[in-house]
Amino acid sequence: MKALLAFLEERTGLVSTLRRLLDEPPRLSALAQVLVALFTLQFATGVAMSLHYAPTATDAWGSVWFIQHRLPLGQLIRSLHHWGTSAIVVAMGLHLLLTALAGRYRRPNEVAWWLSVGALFLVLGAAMTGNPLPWDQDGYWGARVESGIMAGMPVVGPILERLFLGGNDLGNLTLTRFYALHAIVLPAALAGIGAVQWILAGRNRRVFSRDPLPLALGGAALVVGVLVALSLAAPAPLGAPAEPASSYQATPAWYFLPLNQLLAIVPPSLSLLATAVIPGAAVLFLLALPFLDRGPAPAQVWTPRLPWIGGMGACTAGLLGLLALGLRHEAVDEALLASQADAAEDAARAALIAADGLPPEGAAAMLARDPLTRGKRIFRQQCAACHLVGGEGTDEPNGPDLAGYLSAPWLLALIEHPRDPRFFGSTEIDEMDPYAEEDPAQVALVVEFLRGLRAHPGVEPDDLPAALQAGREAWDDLGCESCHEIAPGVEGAAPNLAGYGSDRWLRAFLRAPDSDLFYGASNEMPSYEPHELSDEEVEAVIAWLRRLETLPLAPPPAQVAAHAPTDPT
Amino acid sequence: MSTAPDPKRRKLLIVFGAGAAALAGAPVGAGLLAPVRATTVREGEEFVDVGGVDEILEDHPLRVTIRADREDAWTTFRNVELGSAWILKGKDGSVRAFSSACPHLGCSVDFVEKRDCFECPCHDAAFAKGGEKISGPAPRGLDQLPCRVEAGRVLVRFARVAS
Repeated sequence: MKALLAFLEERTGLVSTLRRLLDEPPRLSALAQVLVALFTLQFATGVAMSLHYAPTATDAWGSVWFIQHRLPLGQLIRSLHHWGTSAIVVAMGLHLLLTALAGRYRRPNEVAWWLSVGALFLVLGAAMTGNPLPWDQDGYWGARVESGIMAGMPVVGPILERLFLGGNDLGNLTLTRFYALHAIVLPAALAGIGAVQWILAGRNRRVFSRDPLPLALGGAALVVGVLVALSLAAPAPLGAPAEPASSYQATPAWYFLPLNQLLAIVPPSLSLLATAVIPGAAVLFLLALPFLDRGPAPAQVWTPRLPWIGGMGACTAGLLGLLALGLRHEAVDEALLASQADAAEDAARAALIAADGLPPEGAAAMLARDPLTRGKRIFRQQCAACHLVGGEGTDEPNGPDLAGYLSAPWLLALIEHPRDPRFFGSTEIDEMDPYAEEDPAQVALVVEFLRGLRAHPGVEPDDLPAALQAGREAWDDLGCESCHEIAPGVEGAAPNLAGYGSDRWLRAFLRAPDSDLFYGASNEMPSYEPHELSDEEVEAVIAWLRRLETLPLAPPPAQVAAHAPTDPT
Repeated sequence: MSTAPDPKRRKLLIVFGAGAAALAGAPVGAGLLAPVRATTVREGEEFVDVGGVDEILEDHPLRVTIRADREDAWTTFRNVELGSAWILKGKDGSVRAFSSACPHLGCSVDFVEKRDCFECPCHDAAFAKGGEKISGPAPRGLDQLPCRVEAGRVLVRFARVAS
């Protein structure tokens, strides 16, 4: 060991250099030491992910899913990288603020100050190019919005947009570009700034803030520990794969929220104010500070620097105020919350089906082919215009609420109260009498019978298994058979219920609810013929109906009225 | 600017530095070493139908393409060409399958009618019709693949036999 060290020392002088560095007084503030630790963590976790990441529009989501669900420690690694970004933004913001308050941007520290401001923007650039890399809904639509903002810049807008996207639209080349910037160019630039700052901190010791070593090292260890805990408690989210055809409201990361909120509060005709003028003025102010506020450094906090401290304070207060506004908006915007709940459902479904492998066409194709997801979309477009689900949806319901559709509680409630607004109350159909007054045991048998029919499409009533015969007696006793036929293909006054609830029954019903086998002349529902819904699409809708079956029923109308605010008139 | 050497301080810095290096090394190591135990590609785990046993001439090797599903990390390719195999039906009607990969360095062997043997184009390894090594650098004969005949169909389980 000694010989090796002596060899190294003689050839390179590294050993004595290291000794000198170990013995010299601290160069860094605790905050700077925390930043060094955070950047190291970002680098390490970034390398681990780059070994598994594929920057293409078809594969990006799948590879991030792989990192999250297949790579040992992958979820922790990605979560550390995710939360690390937030921590770096906070630490850099604090660093800038403390440096400014202490007037440490003054001569001879101007260059260090500019580098600090520049580093913050490189970090934001790294976040901007990093967040779309999973190519999930938030990433994709976030990049889409950002490219729109760039396109709106005067004169250089169109060129800027192309340079940002790596072409004329988001795609493979956007991801390769973002990846190269995020993983190579920006980290290299940040490392360069870090090295220069380190040298400057050694040279201009008098004006650099320093903390005792144990505080600096302890602070760094503490922050990393908090990040690990946070990552374990709240893993980084992976949304559903990007769907360019969907309408999705992206929510920016919190550190971009102030700008987003600024854009939301200025009138559209003045949007340049939010995207360029105000942020540009703030940045210019920061860069010009060393020239505006001259004098020896470090400086007293208050006198005579009130205007400059005030300016910094205004910038900070503005940012925090906009952030608070933005967060509040996100917390109360019901449309946004609903879309986020929906997106979370898609994301969970995508993560589940990805375990079977993505098709070579990529993650979006995987989700588009998933019957359940597809069924949900078709249901939205076609069925939700009339059918409520759990009391949610259209303002003009016309047909049964389909939460719990075909489940035992749903059938029971339907039989007892067919004219309830949750069933046929919203339609013209009122031929069926309520059975709420009948013997509950008989009604329960009928419900069981109807549920049993599902397994026997195309079976003549007399051929039904013995287990269903008791239910069939109740069915006859209650007089159901006088309107509803249960023999396959026989028309009656009300829908034929042979094989009720089976795929076959649902298929036939969706194709032609106006058939005399179903509602005939009293039908109000559109017929979904093959040119409107393909066979696959009908199967997808059925898959979604099966999902709705698992939902609890909408509360009965009386309860709704009890919860509704009373009308003062 | 050096102050007097302080062994406690040095030790603190070295311990902290080593800790930080270990912590930073953990995710990199996890990423780098993950492939040691993971199966990242799965293919041809099932027997694949490569044709009817009657379509094969006796004593005359037939090259067949193996098509099956291939799972590659996060992507599943359905029914893609995985590679090829040589099927040999003996005069007694028994059927054997050989990997077309030369056991030397994995090049694809051809059957040369003229000399009635398999030859590898890369380094001139030669194999008899029954797979036995005749000459050249190959360490052994052609690798046999699991193969059986069911209801008149030849079923082969593909394997990428590495040299």
